[in-house]
Amino acid sequence: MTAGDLSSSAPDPAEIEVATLGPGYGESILIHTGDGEWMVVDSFLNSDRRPSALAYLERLGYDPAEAIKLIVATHWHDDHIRGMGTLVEAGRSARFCCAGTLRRLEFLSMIEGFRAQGSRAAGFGTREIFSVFAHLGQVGVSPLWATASRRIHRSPRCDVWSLSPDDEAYTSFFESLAPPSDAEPERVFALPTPNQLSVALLVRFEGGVSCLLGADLERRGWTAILSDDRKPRCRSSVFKVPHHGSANAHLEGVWDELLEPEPFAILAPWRRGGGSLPRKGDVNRILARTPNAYATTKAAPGRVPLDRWVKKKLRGVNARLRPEFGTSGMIRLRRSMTGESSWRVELLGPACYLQELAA
Amino acid sequence: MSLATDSNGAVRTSPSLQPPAVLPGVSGSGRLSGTMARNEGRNGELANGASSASLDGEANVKGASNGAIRNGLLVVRPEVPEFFPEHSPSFFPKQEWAGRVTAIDNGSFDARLQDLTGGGREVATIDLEELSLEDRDRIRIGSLFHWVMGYETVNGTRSNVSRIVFLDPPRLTRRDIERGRRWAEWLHDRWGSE
Repeated sequence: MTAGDLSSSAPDPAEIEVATLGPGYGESILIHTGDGEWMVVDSFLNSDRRPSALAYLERLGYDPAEAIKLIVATHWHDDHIRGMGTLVEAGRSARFCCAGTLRRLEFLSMIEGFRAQGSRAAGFGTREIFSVFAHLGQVGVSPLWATASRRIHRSPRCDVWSLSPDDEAYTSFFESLAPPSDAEPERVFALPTPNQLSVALLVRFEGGVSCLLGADLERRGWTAILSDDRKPRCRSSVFKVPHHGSANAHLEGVWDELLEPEPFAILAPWRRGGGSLPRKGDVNRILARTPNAYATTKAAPGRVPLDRWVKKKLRGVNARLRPEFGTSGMIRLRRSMTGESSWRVELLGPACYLQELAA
Repeated sequence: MSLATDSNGAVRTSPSLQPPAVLPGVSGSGRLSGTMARNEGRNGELANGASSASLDGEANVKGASNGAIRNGLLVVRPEVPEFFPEHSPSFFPKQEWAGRVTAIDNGSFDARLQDLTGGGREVATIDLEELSLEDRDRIRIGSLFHWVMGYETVNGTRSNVSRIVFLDPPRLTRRDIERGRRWAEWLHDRWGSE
């Protein structure tokens, strides 16, 4: 078998696949839920500005219009949502799911207001969620609204539950959305960070296998999940580590109560300028819980081709440039839904063991 | 292209996962309404229509009014309007970017850049110290700027110049919200009670 065969071979109908893609800024997770049906969680763009999830499914020989049954936008940060509008339009058989908070008229009014200003006020992610909603308005199909402990999808071989956002996150978000008043009609306005509204997911398969996808949900949200008695009772063998491995999303109780011992931990690193996640301490903390930990990339950002004079000048002005798009790696996990089976791991492109990030 | 299985059973391959290139989305020219840039000082007179760029290559409709949804069609303004400053005769630009701020943190800000000199798209992290005190107070996520590097000759002395010129920060008004509410109510009507 050649590497080309490996990366383009579709899973068997009764085989689970969890493919996590990420170039160092952006992540997308594709899950084969059986019988040629897929769900996609979050989106980023390849260097050709096409959603990576579409490119991957087409490479496996699927028609995204038929194969994708569920698309989830965990939140609207740039690194999770770029290309989501294109993805939703292409996934014509899919339902789109996002946090139930986004249905509120206040939120929708604001994203239209920002969009009308060219999205300058709120960044790319707001515009992307606007384009998704505009499309769903045109076709007259409501999103599925994720809340704590809600089953959002069901197929013969799997069901999918949203575990967040909880009521407190919902309330605090809207308290921060006070619109401009008559007294200050020109007030500069910015949307609060959406991490607290991230949609964590539990995917349960026929045969008892399950995966926990942590989105960018931070510690307070995980505390709410742990205390929620309505959620399905199961322990997952795959864990998409939340918020790129950041300490602010780590809770020991999640590993103790929601995961099997030494689960397969998958993580998409995040790099912006001088900042990056996970940090060395994050890597060590995760490795203390499982040796089966992987990252979608370890590659350093490439260099931007620039005139020599400009490069020299850049050094003088404390600015660091890098290409907008990196090369995506993929962690691919596969196993059979039935019978004795364990996960098989494939690391494609710059994907690596997590410990390599600490080297 | 290589393939190997390591001692822990994970299979590693080394090809890039990038698929074959496809044509990007439609991109067109935008329209600037009013004076949108703020001059930081020496050379920053503004010239509408001097150039055109869109950071995201998105579709837009020339001459369309803002925020309209007509017959179910979304009218989108360009991400970066045409606001580039004219340079004085004494300034020789070597490199220019159009930028949009994406994050502000720990004494620096991140931006997505459109390279107006050599083409291409980049991201940058720039120290806030590079900005004037006034700009440091006004910078927001989403702020647009024009960044130019070059030579400037003043009284026969040539010096290197790096200059960042910001647009005024965006303002969301009650009118914006009210207009947005009509769209929000249209969505609710289309989606029903689910």
